Amino acid sequence: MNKKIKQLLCAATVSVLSFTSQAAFLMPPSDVTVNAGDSFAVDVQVDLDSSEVLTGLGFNLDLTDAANISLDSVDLAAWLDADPFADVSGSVDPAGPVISDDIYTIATLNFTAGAAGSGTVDLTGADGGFFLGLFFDDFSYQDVDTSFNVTVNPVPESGTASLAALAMMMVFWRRKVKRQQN
Amino acid sequence: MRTFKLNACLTALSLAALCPSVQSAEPLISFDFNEQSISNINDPSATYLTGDPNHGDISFSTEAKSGYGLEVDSLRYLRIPLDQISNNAVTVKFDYYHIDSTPEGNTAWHSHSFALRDTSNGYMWSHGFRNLGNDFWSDAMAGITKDGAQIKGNADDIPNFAKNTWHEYVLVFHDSQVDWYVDGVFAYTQKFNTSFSQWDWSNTDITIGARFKGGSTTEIDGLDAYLNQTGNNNHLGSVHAIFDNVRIWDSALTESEITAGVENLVPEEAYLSINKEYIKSSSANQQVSLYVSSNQAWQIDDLPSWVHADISSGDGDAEVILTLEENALFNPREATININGQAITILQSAAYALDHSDAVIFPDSENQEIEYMFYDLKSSWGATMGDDFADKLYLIDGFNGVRTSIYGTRDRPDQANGKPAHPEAGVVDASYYAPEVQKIKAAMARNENLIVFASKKLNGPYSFPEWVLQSDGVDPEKYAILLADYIEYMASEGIPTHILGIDNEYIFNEGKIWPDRFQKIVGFLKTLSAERGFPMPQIIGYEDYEPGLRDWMGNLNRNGWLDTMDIYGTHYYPEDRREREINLLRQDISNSGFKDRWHSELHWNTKSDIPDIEEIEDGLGSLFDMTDHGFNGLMWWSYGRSGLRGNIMRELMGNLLNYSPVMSDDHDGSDILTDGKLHTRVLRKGNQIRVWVMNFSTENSYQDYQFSLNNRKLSDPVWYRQYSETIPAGETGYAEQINDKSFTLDFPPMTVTTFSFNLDTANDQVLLNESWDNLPMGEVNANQILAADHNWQQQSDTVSGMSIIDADGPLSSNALALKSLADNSRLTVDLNSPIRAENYDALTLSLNVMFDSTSDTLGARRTVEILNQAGDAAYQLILNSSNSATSIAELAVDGLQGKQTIDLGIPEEFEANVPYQIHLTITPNSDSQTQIAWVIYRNKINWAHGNSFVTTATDPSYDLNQLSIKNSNSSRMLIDDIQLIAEGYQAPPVDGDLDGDAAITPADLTLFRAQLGKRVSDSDFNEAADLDNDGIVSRRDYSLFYSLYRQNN
Repeated sequence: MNKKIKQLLCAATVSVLSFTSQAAFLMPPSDVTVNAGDSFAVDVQVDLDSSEVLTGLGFNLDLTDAANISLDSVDLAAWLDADPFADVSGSVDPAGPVISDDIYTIATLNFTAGAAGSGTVDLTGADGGFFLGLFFDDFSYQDVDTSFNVTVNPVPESGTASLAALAMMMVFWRRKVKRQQN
Repeated sequence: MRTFKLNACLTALSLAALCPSVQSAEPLISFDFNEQSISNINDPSATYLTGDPNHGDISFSTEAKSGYGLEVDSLRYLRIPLDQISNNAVTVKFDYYHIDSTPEGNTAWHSHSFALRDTSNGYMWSHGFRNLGNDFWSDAMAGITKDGAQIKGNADDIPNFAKNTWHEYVLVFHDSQVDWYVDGVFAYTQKFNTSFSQWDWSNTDITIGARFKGGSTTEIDGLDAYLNQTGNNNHLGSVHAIFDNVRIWDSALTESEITAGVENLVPEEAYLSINKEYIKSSSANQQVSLYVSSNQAWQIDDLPSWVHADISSGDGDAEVILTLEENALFNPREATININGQAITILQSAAYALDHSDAVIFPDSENQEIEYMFYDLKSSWGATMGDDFADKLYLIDGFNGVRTSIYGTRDRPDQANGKPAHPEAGVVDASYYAPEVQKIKAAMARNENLIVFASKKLNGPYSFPEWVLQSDGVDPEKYAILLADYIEYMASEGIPTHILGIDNEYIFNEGKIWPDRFQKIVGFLKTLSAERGFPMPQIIGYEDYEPGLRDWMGNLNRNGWLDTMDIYGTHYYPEDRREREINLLRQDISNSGFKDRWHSELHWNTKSDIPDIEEIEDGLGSLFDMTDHGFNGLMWWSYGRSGLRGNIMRELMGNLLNYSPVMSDDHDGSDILTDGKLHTRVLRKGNQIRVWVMNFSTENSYQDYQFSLNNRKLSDPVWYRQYSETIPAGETGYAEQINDKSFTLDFPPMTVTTFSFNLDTANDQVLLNESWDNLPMGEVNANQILAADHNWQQQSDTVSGMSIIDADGPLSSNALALKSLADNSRLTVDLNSPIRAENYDALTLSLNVMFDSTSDTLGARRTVEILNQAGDAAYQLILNSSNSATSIAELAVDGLQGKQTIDLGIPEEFEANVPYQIHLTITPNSDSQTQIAWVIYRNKINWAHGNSFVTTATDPSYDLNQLSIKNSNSSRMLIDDIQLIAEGYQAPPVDGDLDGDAAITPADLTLFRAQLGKRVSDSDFNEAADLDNDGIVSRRDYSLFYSLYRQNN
């Protein structure tokens, strides 16, 4: 069954990776634009409908095409217990809140921009439903395969730089991902 | 396995080895008296005259030449017809021991002991004993002719012999003379005037021990002398002597034969001994050796088809190999084979059965609890009781009651032994009660709940004060006043009177307290209780020295006076243990109207001239006869704490109070009345089991005797104590444990062994426990839910006649009565938790039932069913009290292999208005077999029990989840105290429970987190975390766990 779906909101300080329940809906990719030398964060979010209860997730970050930035750290949501299966990997604490029917920030990815230029960060999670992907309480799972672009500008004049720092762009795209049901 | 002593066999073998083979003529008639009977070894069916039993004695004495001998005294004798003599000659041999020749032990003129006589012709030859210097010896040998003339022996030639010593006499009658040999040596010959060829042998006999009157061949002399009366039959002379090994040949033996020893001509007595009388085998094909020791031909008979013998007959000693075919059946099987009439029982367990045991204990078949154990102050003679002894009785041994005396006895004419404690109405002489008061207070100080049982003290026909008596016994009103005076006096001492025995042993006092007088006394006492304000004690009666005497209980019952008695009490003596007394006891119980039953004076004899161990069988037997009959109160006369008897009594004390007897069967059955059997009795309190094994056989030693539990398991080692005359304190140790249900020990002859162990009840799951006690009495409306201990649902609105009634007595206080439930209607209840066969070891269903009537609707049934979740009866107990039913009670098991039914072997129809207590234990033994054990008590007396198998297994795919009751009869069924317990319960695995506590907890979450990512190849892989069973603990497993966790937290 196919269902997938997600929205990723990326911004210099806040980005959202989200998935919708509308399989055909793809959000257009948006660039994250920062200045060289900046530290910036991208939130990865998931948008769940009422039938979906998240139990865990795992995906890796591929920065091969984004050599001008580096990943500093990953901050998982408090309701996730980190585990070691991927760059972003965690299990939803069953004693915590139910993760369903809303948009949730899974993790915040913390980067540092290097030299000016542009690149693409790929988020992938697919291993046949063992550890990578999104996992739900109905025993279903969903692979993750999405990305976002990062543009690093040269360091601007001070007035321009300030202005640039304040300019955030929301990047949305959607991508059809095959969701597999066991 | 058990073996038996072979002493008798070995003795016989030894004799066989010593005895030369028979070379000459064998005796025609032969007696050795060793069977303590007058039995001709060559013709055991023949009978013989022995004279008038009123005029002397005849007995079998161990003062014999060998084995037993025939002792005759005064006018008793043994007559042996010689009608088989065909050669006009006869040889008679006997061993002779002369004691004396008069009833007073003196000597007489003619001490004749032997005669050969032809009663047709009047010929006789008589032989006497010539006692040195005493007996008149000139006539010691005499013959008489047809006309009565005597031909006497030559006194000078007749030898003398000392008395009180054994001599072998051989008398050879041939031609016209007799030749007498003593101890193989020729002694004397006497000739007659008539040849033996002229004798009428068809009317000839010999008499041993008789003296005939002078000149007579028919009249025994000495009767007048014996009776010490005048008359001419007045010659003492018939001897007091012992005869042994009498042999008679139809020929004249030669001197050489006699000199060589005539006993050598006697064929060795036939014997046959087998080393086993009981073979117990497993189900497998196997061979068993039998050793036959014999000097005769033998043959094996009654071999069943599954037992084969390598030789089926033989002559002499032999080893027989029995081959037992494998028992592929589901039931154990049993056969009895015979070797020359000697039975050998073969018991073979079944392929799928529990390993069969010598004895089986049914631990969940509890009968009436023993609630009261009384210490008897009536047989406590001391003036006071010291603290140490009181501690032992009430704190260590645990007596919870005392029996004490009500005095008021008078002096006997020849003995100032009265205790006139009640000299007149309203007066009590406290001095007589001082010892009892001190002793009771000592007991109360140690047990504040002590039961005081006051009982009238007897002094034969001087048991009551004069003022209480009228012409024909006690005056009921006056005696009630005496009793009230007693109760009030004791109350003034702070001593309550809980139980009152107003009479005991009817014939041993002058009170003549027949039921009519009994009920009047009780009536007056109740009036006095109300008027004077003392609590009315419970009345025990009638406490006679034997049950059933004079139909006392029947009279009380028929006259409607049962309510004047609260407790049935009896004194059933150990020497009265026999079937007749048991039947009388049961009559009394039947007439007692479901009252408590007490043995209020248990005796255990302690005769000084008999070893204690020999009196224990009756002592213990009379006690266990009571616990077999639902008695809940016991009191020993003369309780002791030392010696073999005392040690056993003390241990019994700890094994009786608050214990309940449970059923046990040993290899020779559960009967305890037959002396010499192996007796086993088992008691249970909670999870504690006490086993009593009594081997009072002097010969049988039971080795490696195996006890098994029908169900449940041993939770700890089995401790034993084995008492014997040589080790009165008992030898102790641990029995050899075979598995978690079985243990063995040896039981030597004349031993009493006790076992102590605990049952494993830790995993009992109570599925149902219904008493109805919280429901109000009255009709139950249709469709009404019965919110009793459980919520019972009526499954149809066609129910009628259902009510909660007061059934106190036969059942407990509240009971459910129901009738006329239509075919599809029933009363159901959910079990506390659904359960599957794979999750328990056994189910035990216990319930009490009683029926209004036995004239029931044809074919209508009463059923109690355990239902599965499909609504089917997995187990159906069918109680059909219709007289036209083919089976009185049965159990149907509906399982994977279909429905199988077993008849519970009920011996007779259910009786109306009699309570039945049913215990059923259902054990799923294997995939295709279910074992059923049942014990049914009728009015607290074992009525039926058994153990069998059906070839179907409970469907493991269904939970058992309900119990149903149905009665489609027009008469009521009362049902009470329903209990269903699953033993050995193992909760089914809970998905997500990683730590095995049958719950999903944070601890499981922690464990699961640690397992995430583990593979089956990892040493610490926990398969409980691999919920999808793919060999790896993945996030999908976690997703499942997550859901389970949330559902359970």
